[in-house]
Amino acid sequence: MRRLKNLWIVLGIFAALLLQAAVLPVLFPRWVVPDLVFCFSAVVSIIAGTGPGVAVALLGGLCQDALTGTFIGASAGANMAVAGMIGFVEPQLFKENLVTPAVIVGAGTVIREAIYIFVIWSFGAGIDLVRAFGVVIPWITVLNCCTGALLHRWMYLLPRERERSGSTTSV
Amino acid sequence: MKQQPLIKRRIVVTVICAIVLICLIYFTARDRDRLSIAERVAREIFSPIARGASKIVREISSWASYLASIGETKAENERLRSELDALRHENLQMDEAVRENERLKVLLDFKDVLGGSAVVAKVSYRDPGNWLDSVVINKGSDDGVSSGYPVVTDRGVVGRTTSVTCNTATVVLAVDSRSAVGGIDVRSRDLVLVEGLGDGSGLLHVRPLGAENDLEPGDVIITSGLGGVYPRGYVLGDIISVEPGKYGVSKSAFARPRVDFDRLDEVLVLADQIEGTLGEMQ
Repeated sequence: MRRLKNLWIVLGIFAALLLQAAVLPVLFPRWVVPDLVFCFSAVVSIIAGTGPGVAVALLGGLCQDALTGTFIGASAGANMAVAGMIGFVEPQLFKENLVTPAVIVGAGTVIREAIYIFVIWSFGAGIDLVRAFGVVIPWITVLNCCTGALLHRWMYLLPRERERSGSTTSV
Repeated sequence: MKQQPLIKRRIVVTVICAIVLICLIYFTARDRDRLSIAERVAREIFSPIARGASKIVREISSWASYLASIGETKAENERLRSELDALRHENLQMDEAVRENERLKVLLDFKDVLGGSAVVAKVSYRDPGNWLDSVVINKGSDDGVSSGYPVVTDRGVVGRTTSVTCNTATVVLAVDSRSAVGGIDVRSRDLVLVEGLGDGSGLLHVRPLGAENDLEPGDVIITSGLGGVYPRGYVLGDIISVEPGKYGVSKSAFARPRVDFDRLDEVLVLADQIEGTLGEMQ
């Protein structure tokens, strides 16, 4: 059962990377692309807490960085930091609606991008801060909010609804 | 009391993770000739799948636009419509094949113009993030591609290769903030440094190397061949605006590349930089 779950997580990361790197840029050239790998790790953190969230963030972030071969660890570090923060507040979260994951993923996106920009800037990448905070981050935040809410519904709310309806029928 | 060792352990794990990641970033922040085995395997597996996925998506999106257009022809009878569908589909495929053929022909003609050896490559996928302008192509060391090779199309400079595996190579695009190319103004013969802005505008920053310079909108900037990476004579872009420098002594300018970086598909990797030098006829 656990192995099956791990397989689903690996497949999820692979699908997120494929969509992010090869599908969405072809469908929407010149558009900002949502960070699906981050959304996935954030939602896992919301659902399952720090440990699984940080593990998905590490694996997904490293794969994301390894695909282009530069600043390896920057995405992983930023994703892990935010997944850890989300995991820290996870016991206090009300998970039965879509607003919570949207807000958490949105806030997490801003922190994640700020950490990532700071790290790659520290290691020599040039970043236009006005565009980053004025255009790119707001757009990624909006897109990630929607993606986070959808993922939460798909990974947490729908299985619970199905469980509930299954138990009602059996009663 | 029991929680203290747990907290301590978490702090230790966090610090170790941070140190390992910082070391990793430090060692991978610069251009690398060789990638680790894990990176090579990941890219070799991912690249063809990504290439296939983007091809399918292109096909689907052309189909979707086609389907949207047939909404107007509802009145036609079923037989004619299905026949028309089949013919249009065939036509679409043929069009696509003709377009691809034309593109490749242009590249091959262009390749013939070059003296040195050049490798035709296709873009597999783009950088998954939103901050770095780089793409991964489907040719690597098995095809004679190494790190630091210039990448061009018939329209001009695309970028340079950085990390290379057997069948893939990363290309840092000319518009990336890590890119700097030595250039020359075709009209005034001023030497300039052309840097990627990396701000998503798709423009290049043109900085003259001398204090006295004469840059004007409309001027064409080509590679100077002095930087050691790019051969002389490839178009970098057309100057669109000129601004006075900080103290009004010199000017700096912005140029628009002729290459459409958002729709890159086929590119040429110049495996022989010196032989690949073009005349300024471009």
